[in-house]
Amino acid sequence: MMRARAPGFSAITGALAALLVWAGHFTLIYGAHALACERGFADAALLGLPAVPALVLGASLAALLAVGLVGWRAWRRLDGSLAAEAGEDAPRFLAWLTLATALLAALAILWEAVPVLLLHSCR
Amino acid sequence: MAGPPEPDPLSPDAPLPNPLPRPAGELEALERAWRRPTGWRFPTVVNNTWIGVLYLGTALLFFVLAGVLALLMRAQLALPENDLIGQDLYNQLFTTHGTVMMFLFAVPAVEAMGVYLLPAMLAARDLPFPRLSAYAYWAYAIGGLVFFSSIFYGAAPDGGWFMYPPLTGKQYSPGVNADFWLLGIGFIEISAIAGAIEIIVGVLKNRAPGMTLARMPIFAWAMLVFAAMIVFAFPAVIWGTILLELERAFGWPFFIAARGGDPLLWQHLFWFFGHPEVYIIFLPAAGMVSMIIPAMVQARLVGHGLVAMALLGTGFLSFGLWVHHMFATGIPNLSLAFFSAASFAVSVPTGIQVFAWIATIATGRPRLQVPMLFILGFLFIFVLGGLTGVMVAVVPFDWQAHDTYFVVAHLHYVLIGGMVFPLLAAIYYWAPAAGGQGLSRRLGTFAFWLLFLGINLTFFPMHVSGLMGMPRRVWTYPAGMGLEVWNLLSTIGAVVAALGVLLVAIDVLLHFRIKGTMAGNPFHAGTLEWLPQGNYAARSIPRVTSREPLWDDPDLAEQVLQGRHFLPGTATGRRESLVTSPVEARPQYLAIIPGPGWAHVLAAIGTAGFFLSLTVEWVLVAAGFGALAVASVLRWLWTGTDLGEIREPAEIGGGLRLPVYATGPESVGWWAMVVLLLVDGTIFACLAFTHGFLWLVNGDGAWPPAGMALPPLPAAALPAALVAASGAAICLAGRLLRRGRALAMSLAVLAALGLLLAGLGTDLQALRAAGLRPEAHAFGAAVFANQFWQGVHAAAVLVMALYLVARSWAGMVDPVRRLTFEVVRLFWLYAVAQALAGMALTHLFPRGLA
Amino acid sequence: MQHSVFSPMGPEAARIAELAWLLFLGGGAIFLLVMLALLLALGGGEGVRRRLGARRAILAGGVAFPVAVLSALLLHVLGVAAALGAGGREPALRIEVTGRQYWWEVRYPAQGITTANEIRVPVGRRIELLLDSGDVIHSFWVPALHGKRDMIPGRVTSLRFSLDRPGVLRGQCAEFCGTQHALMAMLVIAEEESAFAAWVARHKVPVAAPADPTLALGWQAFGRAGCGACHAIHGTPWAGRSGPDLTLLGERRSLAAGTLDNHQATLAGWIAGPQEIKPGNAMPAFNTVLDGKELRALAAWLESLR
Repeated sequence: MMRARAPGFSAITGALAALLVWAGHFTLIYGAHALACERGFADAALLGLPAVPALVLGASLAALLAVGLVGWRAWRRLDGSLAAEAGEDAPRFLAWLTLATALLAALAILWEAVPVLLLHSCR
Repeated sequence: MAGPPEPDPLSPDAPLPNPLPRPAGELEALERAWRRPTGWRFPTVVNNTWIGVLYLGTALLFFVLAGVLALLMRAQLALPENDLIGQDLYNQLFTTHGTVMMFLFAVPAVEAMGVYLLPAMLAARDLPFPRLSAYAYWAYAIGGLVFFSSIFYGAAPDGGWFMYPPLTGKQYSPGVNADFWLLGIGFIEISAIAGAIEIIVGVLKNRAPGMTLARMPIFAWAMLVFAAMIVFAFPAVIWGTILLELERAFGWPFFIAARGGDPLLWQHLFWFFGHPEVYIIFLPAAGMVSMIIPAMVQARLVGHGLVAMALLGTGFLSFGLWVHHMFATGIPNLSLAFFSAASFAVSVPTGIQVFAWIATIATGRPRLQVPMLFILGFLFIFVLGGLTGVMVAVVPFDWQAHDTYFVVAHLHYVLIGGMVFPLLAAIYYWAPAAGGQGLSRRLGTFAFWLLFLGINLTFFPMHVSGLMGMPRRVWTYPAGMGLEVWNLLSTIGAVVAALGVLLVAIDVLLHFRIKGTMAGNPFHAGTLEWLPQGNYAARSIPRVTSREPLWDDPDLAEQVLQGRHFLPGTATGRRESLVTSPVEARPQYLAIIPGPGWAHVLAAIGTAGFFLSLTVEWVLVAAGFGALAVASVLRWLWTGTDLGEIREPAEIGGGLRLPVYATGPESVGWWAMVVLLLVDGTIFACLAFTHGFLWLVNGDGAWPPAGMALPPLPAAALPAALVAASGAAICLAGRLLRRGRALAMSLAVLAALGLLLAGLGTDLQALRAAGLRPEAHAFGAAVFANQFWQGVHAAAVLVMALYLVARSWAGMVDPVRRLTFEVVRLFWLYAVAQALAGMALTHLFPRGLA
Repeated sequence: MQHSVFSPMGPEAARIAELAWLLFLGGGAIFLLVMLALLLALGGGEGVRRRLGARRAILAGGVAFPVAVLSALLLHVLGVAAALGAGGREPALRIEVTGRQYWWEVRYPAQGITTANEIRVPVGRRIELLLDSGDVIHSFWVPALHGKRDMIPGRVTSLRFSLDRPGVLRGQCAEFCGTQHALMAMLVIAEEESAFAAWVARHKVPVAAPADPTLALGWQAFGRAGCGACHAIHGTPWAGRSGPDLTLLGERRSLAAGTLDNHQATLAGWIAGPQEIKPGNAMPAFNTVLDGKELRALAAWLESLR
């Protein structure tokens, strides 16, 4: 009997990859910041920069790169076309979904990184 | 394979799966298998159409009851310095109102819509675990009614639906009121999780052949995201509830600052659930809107993919908002800004949905029938509530608005606009699907206007009274502050809205009938729930080739009714459902699903009785109910699951031969256990967070604090080794089973059980020998909370192991029939991994810090 | 008496009120635009409906527009938050406030003053409140002053502000704290520097036994009934700390955390039966301990503390 190895179980997780990166990024910046403030090493220097902004911006860049990679791979599977949300063809639809969620995740990461440039770390 | 390639039976070009005429007796056999119990056996019913309607009806009953409580509150607040209702009753009223609306109305109502609609919409015969849905329903109905009646004895919770300690701790709330909340609501959360497992597995594994993810209706997307959110959000409040009950019952100081606890720990756990909760309620409603609008305007949803993306995105981002409710707690501004930004981000997908609905309306020919009126009302109210939502996401503004009537206004705009109006639209829209006859257009139109005007009149003035200085949860307010007129308007509005609800109730009582069968498609909708249905759902399972099959294939309904699509009868004479692959929806096997029975009903009575008797500390009665629940669950599993390969693979049409038994990742049971373990893993993550958080807030203090010590590391190594050996033993049992050595397998299972219990027991013993106690300090409390949770798992493993061995001795486990074993092993290995992680948390984390 | 978000008395509240107006006007405009789009979708002309029905309309209205507006708002809000959070000048006056079920203990550590339910502050000075709780979670909220700040057992939170002009500001507990959460109000009295200094000075004068016979009876009643077990009065042997400090009680505008106006009759009534007036508060009734004459004398003496 043919055993249908669910094609694209990885496609589902693939569509969630960018949002999972967002979740990791969010947990990291919130957790690291709380830790830095509670334990008083917020004013320490990291690579010559204040610890909290350096950490948050570094994590945000890494997360944006990861999300960008997810989005770029999906874009290639779509042959660079965004037309009509890839229609009803399942693999193309999932690729489109991956790309769209990557854009949303990127926006969220970007917005969450901005405050670190404007606000004092622990007040 | 030889010969010419067979055409893909799922392709639209292939001939219809089954020929005419159908064999004599086929339909009768199908009807016999799916016959609904009648008379005094009615409570045993499991069909999703019946359970769904009961579920929804009960949820609506709670909506009315909690609404009456709201009316009492509005009566009290109609005038300043009013003494109609005293402070004690008032505090119980608002606590019960909020709790009932959130836990007993909103979540169950949308879950009920899912249970009711999903099988029909996916053209499944039923959801994969009908008894689980029925169990969830009965536990909820019994527990919910008892919980609600506590207000008649003055024993209702009075600490707010958010239950903040230390106010809800033993010192400041010595009565049973808080326990009613913790235990009463605690197990209703379990019922919600049971429903979520059902929905996730159902949506991923029970879709009609050819209904790929790309063709899946938006409502199914919404319910999938909804259920997944429950899986990750509810564990936080379940864990918080466990901690608070442990503190109240045994004095373990998780939230008592004087002994190293922190009240904010509760707030983090509660709102990690509480904020996603709002979207848990909203997303299914949004999914319903995305189904109703296309039918009302006779046009396809514009931006189907965008809307699916918006649902997924909202599901994730809404977990980044919980501190939104803690802006005034003195957390650093930068932390608040992260959450503020996430709140902004989550409004983008919501905006996408709003404009997708507007675009769909613009492309179609709108008909102003009752469902459409409620949809338009929804758009007005919800958009307004969404905008005030952005306002309260603005930190400095929220410092003023937080905990005032402005927030009361905002949340009611969002929840009534975002959930109640779509639900009413849905009731008016789908009522014909249940009874063949729709509700009254006249009554519905009147009700709509009363509700629309009443709701706006009630809640719009609250924006003003809040910013004029009126905090929430006050039983009275002084005259002369200019609050009088706004409060009077709100009270008048509440009466108007109540009349609207009354009209809807009259309409439903007069015109709603359940026939269990449906013919016709009065709104000329495009999706499968409008196929002709019997108790067995559609006669044959349609081959799906587009998103709106009924629009694209006008003959489909007739073909399905004639039995020309897949599985037009029953292969085994029992209830069956067609299990398909999660992405492409290719048929995999025929799952045999259990029919009516008493076991799950008794299990529900036992579960509800157990928690409720614990509340009033009737320990023996609770033990009796607990035993009833466990025994009933075991009987239910024994008779209804893992039947094995009871016949050879069966023909379902189109040349497809499917086995009637599956194990491993193909089977629905395996998926259900995986989802359950996700819930469990999230609870463990909350446990680890608790430990880390308590360390963090205990300043520079040593961990463990002075005067407390952990046992030496070698003492912890033995338990870890025993637990790991238990994992190895259960894997060995799996190998023995594959070789058909049932007796050896049973012995290996028992050995594995012994190892696990010995490992956990020696660990507990070592901690106690080191002098550690849970009551003295939050450190000990955190360590023993971990022990408690491992103990719960040990008990579960104990029951499972004995069940497995008993099945094996009864000859019901063999190399083919091994689903029970696989499911138990999955849980077992999780329990082992969790125990090891727990030991690392107890013994290694504090040492790593030092 | 100022109690509204829209009648700010200092720069912090003014900044938030300004932000609130921006949000209302902007939010109102967006609401009208969306409703207009909905109306046009329902009954607009062919051309308009075709444009609204295109996928591009979703991207414009649901993506581009919110992203642009919210980005601008985010930057603006962060600016406001930075200005409010930076704290500005170092505070010139620190006041500690402890929330208790259902009243406020107020301490001026530098001045050595303890009082209750009324916070006197000098206009123009930079002030910092240090907030904590003696029992459950409360929230300090005086809308005309600043946003609210929670008072959490085991933690100290702070709020920095200044006031532009003299006046009386009403505030109220904003976190549900039990039975009488609704009757837990307070007043902030902003006055000129000289008036504040005079108040501090009056507070430091020890209270002595009165000569007037009625007032003396009141003094004795206070001692006989055991009031001093819970209440303190500066300069007397009575130094209880579980209830409000009663020094200068006669000067306060209200009783029982904003529940009653403060005069002799209400005070006598309160002492006689506090559980009728504010059920669930910690003060027991004294109508069985003191007779009518003693009650009136006690109220008269307490009112004379000014």
